[in-house]
Amino acid sequence: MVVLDDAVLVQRFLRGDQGAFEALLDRYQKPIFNAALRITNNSDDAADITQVVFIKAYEKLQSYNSKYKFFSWLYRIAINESLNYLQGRRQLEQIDDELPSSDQTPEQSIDREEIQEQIEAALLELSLDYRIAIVLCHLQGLSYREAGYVLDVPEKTVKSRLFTARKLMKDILLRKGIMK
Amino acid sequence: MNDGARFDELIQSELDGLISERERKELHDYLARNPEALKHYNDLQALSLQLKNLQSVDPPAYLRTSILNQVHAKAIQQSSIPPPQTFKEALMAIPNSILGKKRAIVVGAVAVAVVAILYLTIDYPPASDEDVSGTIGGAQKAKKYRSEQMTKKDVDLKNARLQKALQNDKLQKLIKSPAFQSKLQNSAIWDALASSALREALASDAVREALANAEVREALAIAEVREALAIADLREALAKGQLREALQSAEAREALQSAEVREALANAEVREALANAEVREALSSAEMREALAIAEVREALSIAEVREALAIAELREALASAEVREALADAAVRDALASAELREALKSGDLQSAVQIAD
Repeated sequence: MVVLDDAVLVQRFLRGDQGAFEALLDRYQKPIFNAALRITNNSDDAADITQVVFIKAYEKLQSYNSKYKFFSWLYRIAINESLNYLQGRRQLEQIDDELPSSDQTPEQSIDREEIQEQIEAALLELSLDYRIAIVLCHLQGLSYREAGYVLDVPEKTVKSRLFTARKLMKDILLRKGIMK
Repeated sequence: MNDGARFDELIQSELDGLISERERKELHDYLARNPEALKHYNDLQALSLQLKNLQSVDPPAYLRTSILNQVHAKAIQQSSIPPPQTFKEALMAIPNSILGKKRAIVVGAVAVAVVAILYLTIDYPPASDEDVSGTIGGAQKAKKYRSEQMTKKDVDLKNARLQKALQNDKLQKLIKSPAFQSKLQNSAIWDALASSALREALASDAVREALANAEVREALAIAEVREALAIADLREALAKGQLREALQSAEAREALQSAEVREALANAEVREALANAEVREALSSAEMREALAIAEVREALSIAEVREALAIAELREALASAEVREALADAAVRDALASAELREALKSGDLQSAVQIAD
């Protein structure tokens, strides 16, 4: 089966091929959902955001600038929508309440699933700028440049946020005894 | 920059896979001398690994359907705006203040220009050698890629890229398929393999993927199509999918057998046009080809704005109108295209806006 690249699918969609849009949806639905999930920590919100992202993409694809990669453009919409969502629902405060208790002692045995939960919790303890830097560069594999475009900030800002985010996460995990 | 900041940066570069060999050595020498820095480095490496291991979550099953339902509803909403019945009607709706007495000429001329590009993709007769030398490679050039008849022993397997290409799983599967085996009985295929340009093309993943398509393989059995593939620009187009898509159309494959068409295809705008499904569909109309066998039309095509106008869906849709085709038969309309004033009118943004009134 021939795998068409994003640019070809975008061109086909712009020429009226609805199937091309479905192919883009199949390709990016999961990464966008996961990015939104890591930012909002709420599966329902992440699904809503993913829906809004693809509907906006459908409506605005005519204005997409092909000098940027399609997925960067899509992430840009996703990050903006996630931020709007959090702002709208004042979820920042709620997230703090939802965080798992961090009063475990280092002696407690922690299995792999628990470690994953603690990593996710540590990620949510970061402020949004740092969390998004980790989500984009670590979890979604974007380069500094691509993340810079998504966030509309210089590459060096992405680099600096990523540096601080890692350090903060490391400190959180040390404090929780996940790292020794 | 102090030592700490310098090595923080090097650690970050290492984590992001952006460190050079020299920097890596510098970093590890430093870590060997600084146990505290080494622990910091190990912690960050462990964190990176943990983040990498975070499992991605499947979106809810309903999400895809929900999104598609919404976009389909949007599509229906957008298409419910009534478009003009015909292209001619759309142009007739342009106020007199914009077109004045030029209206009739413009109606015909735009129509002629619209179909001109279609003609270009199927049977482009160059007005003279000079006219085409600046834009297209030329069928004459393509001749240099023609190869002598060859035997199986002449196939050079020493080329490392070719060997690598032949070891590719997809290609192996293709080679073992009955359909491909039967093609091997065809001497034309051996001719194809004799072409160094084609062998080079086979080294490209995208081209190999294209070869998995039955229509594309069929197209390759045609000598002229192979000749077309010998043109570097066309191979590039194939790799990008445009030409691959075009080769799946019977009309396009037929068109590729014309030397002039291959020349025209060396032009990026024409390749772009060929990638359009409506354009390929229109390739079968003889009336259009006939109407376009005039120098003025080709001249009009050299104007970027005219080509831009051709990208408007409504104009392409006009091809289906009998009235437009009738206009093409009118010598006065064709003569009009020779007029610089008219070409200016064709460049007009107002005209283009007016044409887009269906939006």
